[in-house]
Amino acid sequence: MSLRQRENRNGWLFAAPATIHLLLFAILPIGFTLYLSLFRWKLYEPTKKFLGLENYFYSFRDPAFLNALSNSLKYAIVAVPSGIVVALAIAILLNQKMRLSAFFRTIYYLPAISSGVAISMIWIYIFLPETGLINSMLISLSHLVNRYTHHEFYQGMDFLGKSETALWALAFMSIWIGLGPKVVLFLAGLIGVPQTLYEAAMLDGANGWQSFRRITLPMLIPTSLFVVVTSTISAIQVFTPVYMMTKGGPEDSTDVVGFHIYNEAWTSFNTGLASAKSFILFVLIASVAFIQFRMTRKQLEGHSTF
Amino acid sequence: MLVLLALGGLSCSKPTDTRTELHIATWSGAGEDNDYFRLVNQIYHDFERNNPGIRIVIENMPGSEYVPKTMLSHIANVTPDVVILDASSSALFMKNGVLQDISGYLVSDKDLHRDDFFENTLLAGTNGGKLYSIPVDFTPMVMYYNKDLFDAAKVAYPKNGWSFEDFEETSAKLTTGLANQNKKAFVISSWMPGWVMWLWNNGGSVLDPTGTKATGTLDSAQNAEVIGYLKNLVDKGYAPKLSEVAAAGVEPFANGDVAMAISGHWSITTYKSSKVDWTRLGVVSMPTKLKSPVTVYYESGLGIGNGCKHPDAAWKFIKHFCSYKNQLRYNSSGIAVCARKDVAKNRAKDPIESDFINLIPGARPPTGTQVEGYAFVEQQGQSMMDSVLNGRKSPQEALRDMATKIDREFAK
Repeated sequence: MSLRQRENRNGWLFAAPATIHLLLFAILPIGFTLYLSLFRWKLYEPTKKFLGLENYFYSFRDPAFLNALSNSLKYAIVAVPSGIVVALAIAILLNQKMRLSAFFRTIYYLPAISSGVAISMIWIYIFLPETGLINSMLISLSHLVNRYTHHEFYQGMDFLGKSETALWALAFMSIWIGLGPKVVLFLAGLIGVPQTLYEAAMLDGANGWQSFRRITLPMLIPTSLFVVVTSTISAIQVFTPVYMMTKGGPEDSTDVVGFHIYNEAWTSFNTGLASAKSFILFVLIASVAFIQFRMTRKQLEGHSTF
Repeated sequence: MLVLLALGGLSCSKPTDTRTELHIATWSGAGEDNDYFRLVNQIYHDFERNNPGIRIVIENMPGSEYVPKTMLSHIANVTPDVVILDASSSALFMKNGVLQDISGYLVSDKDLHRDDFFENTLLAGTNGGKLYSIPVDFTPMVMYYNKDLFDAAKVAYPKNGWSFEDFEETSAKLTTGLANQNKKAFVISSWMPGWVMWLWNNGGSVLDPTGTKATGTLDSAQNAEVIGYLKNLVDKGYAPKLSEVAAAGVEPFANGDVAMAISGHWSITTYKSSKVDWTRLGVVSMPTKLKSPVTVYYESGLGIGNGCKHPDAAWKFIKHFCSYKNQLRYNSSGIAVCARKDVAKNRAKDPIESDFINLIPGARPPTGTQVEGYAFVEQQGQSMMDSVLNGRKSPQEALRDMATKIDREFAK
């Protein structure tokens, strides 16, 4: 066996575990979902009826599914940029030379290693009307303001119980939940920015804001792209907080696409239709990621913090 | 060699249990440590003691996941031997071969008879003339009222068979009489099992007689009228708004903030440990426009899984659980009314239990006992009521939207 052949064999051997894992747990299920999506099939029924693409046509005409898609997109549009801005701000603060920075880094990462179910339960209490943390604080502030203005600007709000606020409350919560990994990524990006660039800028008379805008932000583009793509995917797939906190309500205002598909599959047992909707979600996520990569490809050229 | 020896040692250290395993599916955690579960476990242990050849294996499932998990067990050919059946979703189990027809057992058994049970409680486990479950306990939905608040407002207690007009008049008087205490007449929730009886008592229903279509029935003027009637009472200030109830963070009736509330027997356990004096509570039928009031009942029953390898042992367990002695113990928890007439009547020495029993003849099984996928209807019902009570949609518009969604779902 030649050296090249031996290297090839070793390469395949090293790649085999990951390839098998990918085949078994990603490619095969995706293929099977695609297959099931072509049938009318209730999970407990012994027979399937071939429908071709009818489940897909139906899904695009289904107001409940379109509402769920719209809710997911609204959620992503709010949760992703705000999550990134907050994470970047915190990463910049943590990147300063200060005492206890390691402690704060750990604290900010804690939500990422906590159970989503436990976090959701805690946030139910945080959002409680009147007695919840947010309402208590705002009501106390309102009482304080009232002393001077004789006007109560806030009387409590049922964040999760009102269709106008429930989705935004979940998006707000997601900023906190997703903070840890984003902060770590941005910190890695910030640490990778060469100090010489800042020193040169300083010599040229650049102020802090100019250094941030002209050096930090461009150098963080690859990191930001990665964060945007992964955050968007997570936001479109959001499930646990909805399942635990709102069950898609009130009035379907938080019925996001992941939860909608879950109900289609496990409450209504429409396995074929749920598969079609899952496949649409898969294509949507892949497209969003693809578009994001395409849009930022030019910006990536010449900038790398990796 | 060492590994083999260790494995051999492990297998020898535990004697093989040769008893027949009886798997029992339940939606609540027998592992939980409270009086109710201690009671249930005691009944299980007694069964094992009386039947040394049988071992009970509890399959706990979270309540919200009970239906899909049981269905999955069935699909995987590991249906539990005994399945606890919630009437609200029993059609799915009965119509899809999850359970066995147990009519024969009940006919031929010398200890347990059809007559032992309130006749209408057997309807929840009946489909296509076959019996799939033995009722354990149930509760008709009733109107609770707080006698102390009625007395404070100097209003006469309601009586069975009262009308919609009586309810409105009583609510108005209570609101006026309790205004100085900042209390209201009643509380309403958008939870569909708690309001569907209003439609029935106005002569309406949710689905057409075939149980497959909602448009033309649910969105009738008759139903819009009753939803509008409830919304109007809330607007008049007889009941707190949904947002006010949520903001208070407590159950208004249990807290003594309202004089009337619709609920089932299970609420008594809450009321016993709440601010109200539960001995001063009464229950009365739903207000009605019909000759006699109707209401819905919710029930749990026991059925035998279709793949059960030991159906006789499973039946023996059901008989044990539903025996007079064990039901007397079981019902001491106070969660529901016993489906056995003799046990229910034994407990009727308590006036409130007696009031419940008086309402049984007008109680109907929930639609979920006959219609698959009724959980979707109830989900939509909650959204519909939310949108009306929050003033976002008119009753007619909200009912029309709900009916359209149900038809789409049923047509899938």
